[in-house]
Amino acid sequence: MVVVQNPGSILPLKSQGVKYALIGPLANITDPFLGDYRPAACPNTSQPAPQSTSCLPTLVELFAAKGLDVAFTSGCADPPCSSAPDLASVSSAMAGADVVVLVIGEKVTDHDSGGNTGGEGKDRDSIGLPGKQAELVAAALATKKPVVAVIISGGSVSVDSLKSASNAAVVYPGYGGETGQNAIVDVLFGDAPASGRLAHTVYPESWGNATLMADMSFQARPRCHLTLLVLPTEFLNHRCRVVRGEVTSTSYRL
Amino acid sequence: MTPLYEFGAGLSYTSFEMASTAATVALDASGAQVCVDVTNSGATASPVVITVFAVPNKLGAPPTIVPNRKLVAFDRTQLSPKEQTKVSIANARNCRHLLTIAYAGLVARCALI
Repeated sequence: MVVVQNPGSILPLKSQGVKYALIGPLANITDPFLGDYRPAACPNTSQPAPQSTSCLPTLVELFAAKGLDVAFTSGCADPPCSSAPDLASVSSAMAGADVVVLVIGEKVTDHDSGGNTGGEGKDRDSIGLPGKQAELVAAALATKKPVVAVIISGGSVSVDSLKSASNAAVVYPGYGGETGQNAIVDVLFGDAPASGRLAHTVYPESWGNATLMADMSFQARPRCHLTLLVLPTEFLNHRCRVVRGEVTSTSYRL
Repeated sequence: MTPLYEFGAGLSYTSFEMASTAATVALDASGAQVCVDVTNSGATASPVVITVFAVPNKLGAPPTIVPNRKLVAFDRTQLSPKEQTKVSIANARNCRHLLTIAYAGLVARCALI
C-alpha cells in the first residue's frame, strides 16, 4: 500500500462531515483484489475457477459501513472501460460530493469473464490506464475538488495527468488479497499508517513507447541498440528505421 | 526519462527528519554498516522505512548493463511523534562506490570508508 502523492494533505480522509463520490469500474466489485492464481476466498466456492468472491466487501460497501455519505457510479459498463464512460452519471455523482475517490486500474482474475487486462495470457499494449478510464480521471480533476486516485493493478499503470494535478492524491495498493479492500479503507482514513514503498518505478505513459522491451536495461534510449541481424523484418519495420545507414528508434508499441 | 514515481517512493501521514550529517558508513567483512538518526517531526505515529542505495561504479562499456543505483538494504522502524532513533542497517552488501540513504526526498550521501 503506497501513497506516492498527497498534495495539501488530502489524505487521510475524514470520517465525518464529508460527502464522498466513489467513481470507477473497480469501486464496487471484489473479483480483482485476489489477482491471478488465487486461493478460495469464500465458503462453498466452486473448484476449480471461477471462485466466488461474493463474501468479500467492496470499497463502496466499506465506505457505507463507516456511515459515510457515499454516491457511487462505475462510470463504465465493464472494468477496463473499453467503451465511452457515462460521464453524465459520473458528473451527477461528483456534483454533490466534497471528495472524489477514483477506483481504477486493471482487472486481473483467475478466470477471464471479460475485461481482464492482466494475468495469464493477458498483456497490455500500454502502461497507461486501460481502456477509457483516463476520461474518468479527467472528469474528476476538472471538478477542482480533492481527488483520491486508488490505482489497482498488478503491473505498472501510469497516469501523467494525476502527477501534474495539484488536487489529486495517488495510492497504489496492489492486489491486497481477501482483506485488501479493508486495508485500502484503513489507510485512506488514517486508521492504519501509510508506510509502504513502491516496489517498481512508474514512468510516464510515453516511456512505454520510447523504450524497447527487448532491451533489458529498460532505459528509454535515443537509439536502437539491437543488432539488425537478430531482428525479424516485421519487428524491425515496426520499431526501427534506417537513417543514413544508422538505426534509430522511432515510435513503437508492444 | 524522469519517472512519475521512483522505485522506493512512498509517503507517510507524518514528517520525518533525517540527520544526514550523522550518517556514518563502516565497512566490515559482511559489507557496509550504515547508521543514521531519524526523528518523527510530525504529530502522527508512523513507521518509517529507510532505504540504502548503492551507486555502482560505471565499470565496463555497453552492452554491460549497470544500474544507476541498487537497493542494498532497508529498515522499518516505528516512531512516535518527536521520537528519535538511530537506524542501523548492517550487511549493506555490494557497495562499491557511494551510498545514498533516502526518505521522501531526504538524501544523505556517504562516501564509503
